[in-house]
Amino acid sequence: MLFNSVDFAIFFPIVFVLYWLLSRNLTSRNILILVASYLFYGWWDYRFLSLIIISSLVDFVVGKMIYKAESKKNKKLLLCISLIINLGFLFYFKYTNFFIDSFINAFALFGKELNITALNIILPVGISFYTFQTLSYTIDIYRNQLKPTNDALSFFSFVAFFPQLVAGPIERASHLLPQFYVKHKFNYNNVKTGFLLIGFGLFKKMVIADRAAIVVNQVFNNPELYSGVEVVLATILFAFQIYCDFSAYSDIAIGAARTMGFDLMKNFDSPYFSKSITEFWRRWHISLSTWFRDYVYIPLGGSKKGKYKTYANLFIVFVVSGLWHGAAATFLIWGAIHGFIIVLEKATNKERKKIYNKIGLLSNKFSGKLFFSMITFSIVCFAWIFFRAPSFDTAMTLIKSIPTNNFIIFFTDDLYKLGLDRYQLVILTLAIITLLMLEIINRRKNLVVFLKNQLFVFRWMVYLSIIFIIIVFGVYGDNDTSQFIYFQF
Amino acid sequence: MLKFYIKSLLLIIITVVILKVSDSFIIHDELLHYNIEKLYKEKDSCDFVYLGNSLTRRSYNAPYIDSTLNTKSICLASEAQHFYLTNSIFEDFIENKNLYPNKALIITLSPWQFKVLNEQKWWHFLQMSALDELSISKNYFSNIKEFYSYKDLPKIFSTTIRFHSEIPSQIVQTSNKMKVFNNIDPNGFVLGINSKLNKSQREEKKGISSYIDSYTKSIAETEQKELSDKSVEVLLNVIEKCKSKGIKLIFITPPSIDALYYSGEFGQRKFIKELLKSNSVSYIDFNEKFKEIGLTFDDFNDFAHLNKEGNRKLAPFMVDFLAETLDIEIKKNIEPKSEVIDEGVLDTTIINTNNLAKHVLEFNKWGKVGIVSKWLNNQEVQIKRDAKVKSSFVHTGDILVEEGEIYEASIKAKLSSKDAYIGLRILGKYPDRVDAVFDIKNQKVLGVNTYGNFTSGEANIELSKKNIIVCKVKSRVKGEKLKVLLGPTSILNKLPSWEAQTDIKNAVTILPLSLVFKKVND
Repeated sequence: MLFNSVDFAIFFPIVFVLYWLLSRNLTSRNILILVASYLFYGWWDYRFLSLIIISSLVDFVVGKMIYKAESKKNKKLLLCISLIINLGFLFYFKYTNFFIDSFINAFALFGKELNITALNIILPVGISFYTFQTLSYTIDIYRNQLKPTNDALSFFSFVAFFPQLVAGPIERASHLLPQFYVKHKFNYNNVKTGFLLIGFGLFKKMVIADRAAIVVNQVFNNPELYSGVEVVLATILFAFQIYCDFSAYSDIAIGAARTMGFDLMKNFDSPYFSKSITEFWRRWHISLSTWFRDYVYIPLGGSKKGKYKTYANLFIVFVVSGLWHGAAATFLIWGAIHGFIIVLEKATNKERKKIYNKIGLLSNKFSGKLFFSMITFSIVCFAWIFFRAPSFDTAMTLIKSIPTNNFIIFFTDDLYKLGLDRYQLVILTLAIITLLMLEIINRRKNLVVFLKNQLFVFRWMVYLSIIFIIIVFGVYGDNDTSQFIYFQF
Repeated sequence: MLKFYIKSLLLIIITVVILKVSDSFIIHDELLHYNIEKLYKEKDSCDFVYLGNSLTRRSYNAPYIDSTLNTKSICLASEAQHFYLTNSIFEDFIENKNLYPNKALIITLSPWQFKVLNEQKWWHFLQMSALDELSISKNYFSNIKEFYSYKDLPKIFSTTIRFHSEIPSQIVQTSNKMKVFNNIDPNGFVLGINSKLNKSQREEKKGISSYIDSYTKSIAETEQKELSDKSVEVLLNVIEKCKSKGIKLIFITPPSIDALYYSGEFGQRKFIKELLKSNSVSYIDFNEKFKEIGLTFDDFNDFAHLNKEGNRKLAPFMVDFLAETLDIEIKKNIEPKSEVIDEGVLDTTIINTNNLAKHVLEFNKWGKVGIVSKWLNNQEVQIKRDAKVKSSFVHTGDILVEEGEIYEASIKAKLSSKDAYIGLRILGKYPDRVDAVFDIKNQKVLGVNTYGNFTSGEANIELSKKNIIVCKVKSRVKGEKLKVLLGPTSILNKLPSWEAQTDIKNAVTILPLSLVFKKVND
């Protein structure tokens, strides 16, 4: 079920009302969450519910067994069972065809033709998210950082919690699971801010992301037709599309959970204002970055095994992160670009600072902030080309075409042949400017608190404006653009 | 918690109210909306009601047909309208006896109007534009089920939402604008499309003559292919209801290039033909007369629609067909056949007494100075001064004349119950002219005079039929080209400057199609 669908608009208010009717009885409430979550997921394809149930069951049982196991060897063995089952599902559904294709291509390089055909495998929505969530539970128990739960209902609800089930934030059991053990009281302000977050998320998704997607799809699906500024424009729009798409999902997830008294972790923090790629990753998909930090980077040795090992670990983490996003060479390159730049930033940190100080390019001044943000944004955008392009060849075609001088399109009607007419482009531009301004203001002053302190009439005008902007200027309906991008990961 | 629910409910109610209020300012398809409203509100009887899709709008030159057959037409068609919706509009319409046409209900018919599915968004939006007009009807809900899923709910619910979606921009307009199609006819026909097929389109259909030649034969030789049960059901519903209500029903397939090429539809065309024949319903497929009408690539805007020239060529054939089918006398013969023959030599920028009728049909193209015009129905236009301080008049283009001859200009106007005056001028090279001012309340000529080299000026006013008067002015003229000017004036204005600034922003109602400019004998 999509957050930006009529289905969800009917589903959520019903769940919300029932939830608060049953809120006094913990068991009933959690049963409702579980049923609602399975319904939410099964709406897409009920067959794949079995994967979530198996994954939940395995980790619930294995978690207990790890905790009870006395020898480290047994604990390790049990952890391996959990990893094999969970990652087994993930690898089978996500990476089988990638490896088959890679084998075929590798053998083709040596002139041998392998007679294997790719399997017809459907990728279950959100498998990467809930797999990582359940894995963190088992690993934390293995590390003695968490006690296993005896409450199966709460655990199953934690794994399948519908607001964040298919696209995160990837929650840790230590943070979310205890919230299923306690009753929540109806808190008017939490509910209100929750709905505001949902509204803001819908604005980003429906007004910006889905509108930008029209241009992006047009250019990236027809790379041979476009060049120069068209490619640059589409890439910049993709940067906003993916940010607004993914952060919108997180906002709606956090907002929906908050209306029911749950607190989910922050997943985005104005990433395009980052002044370096290192900072970008502290602000982008925070739940995944911290997951990789805790469960991949640190186990690899983190930064404690020398400079070069640290660089290697960082690079590995980003390559793995790239592959987590998708089983394709383009994602691998995307991860590698980020890994390479982060290593470069780390390796040249002192030298760069010296140079910047010498030329007076200070990151605490506006000009410095602007410069570093622009550089970071440009690198991020360049990497997005690989992320978005359907193939490596497409990405290269687009990159090669960038130097073409066709600024003339800004003075002709060609600009409107990218899928959006003048009116739609104006809406998109205004919406992006509004978003950036809100983020700038929000960094200085909490907008929710600011709004709370305003006059009733003003507040209602803001609420109505949000509703009207979404329903009137939103792009919605059954089409390719209305899907959330991160559903595929 | 209760506070939250109450506030939420309030917010929803306010949202809905604001949406509905803003909906009332926006309509999708003014042509359909305008005509349904007009038909229902005025309850003014008309002779022909046209139903169907864009082919209806762009194929039938109703002003020509009406002026020739002395009839009144109204068009209830909308773009890409599915026949199920046509049926629903018909169902609404048939409920009200006052609205029945005096002569016939004319419905455009082609197999593609029965297509079950069209995944393209714009197609759904266009159905919605017609659906909007059925909001009070029981047919509204059955059609929603037919064309939309509940996922389209926000768009179905509000026109405002649809207005900002991906509807083809040329279809979208607000209710106070009439700029969607150029040269829109007041009764909903779209006759002013000038564009022709481009080079590549012509190239694509290069061998069209063989398709034209073989069309009738191909259909005759093709095996019948039935329409779906529901399609037949709605078609028979229209036929049977018309029979039971005593409405003369005519189905017409206008010419289109696509029709000649889609051999896959030939079986259905044959089925339709046979079905109508077995039910004794009048039907003509103008694709069979493609050659006879003389249609060429120049007469089409695209592969489906006739352009301005095309609908002009078709018009006399329509007149003949309707006159024959309905046994109507062609009362006002404006030599339709010769107009078609003269097609190649007609220059729309130069008007002579032979092609003036064509120019008159295009009142929207008349020159307008300081005038706001508003069609009141398919015959009458109110022309009003938009300011007191400047000259105000409407005028024809240049009309070629023979020097030294006497010419007469006449125009019909609506009799006024209030003080109203109309000025009429035949203008040569300044200051050559004849001016006349008429009191259209008291049916008097207030004055007539010639200036410059014009001589022998005369004017008269007479009652034509109830409430309609004819104002005439004539003079011996000088020069090769003349213009006819007319407009509202005041009793305070002097005769030679009736069009100049005046004391009030007065208005008169004229019948522009009645303008006659002719040479008269001494």
